[in-house]
Amino acid sequence: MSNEIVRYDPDKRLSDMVEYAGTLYLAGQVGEDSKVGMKEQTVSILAQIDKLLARAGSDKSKILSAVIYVADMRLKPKMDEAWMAWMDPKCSPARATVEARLGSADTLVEIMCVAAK
Amino acid sequence: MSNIVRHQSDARMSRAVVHNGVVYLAGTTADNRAASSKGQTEEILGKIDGLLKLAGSSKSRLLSAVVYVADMRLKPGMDEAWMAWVDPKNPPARATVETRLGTPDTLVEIMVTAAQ
Repeated sequence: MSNEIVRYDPDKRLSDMVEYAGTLYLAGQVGEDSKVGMKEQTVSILAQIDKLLARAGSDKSKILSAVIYVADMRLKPKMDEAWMAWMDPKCSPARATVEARLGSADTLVEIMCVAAK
Repeated sequence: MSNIVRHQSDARMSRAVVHNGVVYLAGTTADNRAASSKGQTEEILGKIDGLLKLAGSSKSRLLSAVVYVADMRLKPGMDEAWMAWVDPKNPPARATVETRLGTPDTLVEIMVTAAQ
């Protein structure tokens, strides 16, 4: 296991993912199209998470924890629909969902994960 | 690479996940939501004790904690329970933020990581 810090797509502000000691820390992901509904935004985010994990040789079965920020708790069931369709049911992470005001008014959901490499 | 061990898992989430000597607990809330923020926090901390034990850790090995409160005015009640519980020689890195939680009467939710 490498003890070097590897940063994926860093810019001056943040990295999309940071790897250290076999653990991957993903930046908060938001959907590509903020005009779509909660379920679609979540589907988009989960696909982005798949892509990021793949770059480090990991996958969704290795997610350790996830914090899900939703703009309105009443929309949580729609997020969960997309989550349940995507999640490997034998490998679900420690998770919390909280309501927060997000980056733009039409951003409905943001997900931040930690995963094993 | 070290294995991932998941405790109390269902298809959606696990209550505790262990990897590489680190324990990740899910956000924990109280079942008795009629209780005050202090009472809810006491119940949560009891659950966290149980989950940490299950994962081979304890509160003295906490690394970090994020405490979500439904109203920042409830923080003193949460803190009272927290102070009575936390190992004063080994407190974790902690943050408290206000957010709307899963149900209107959920006043506190706590998410921690710990060393095994």
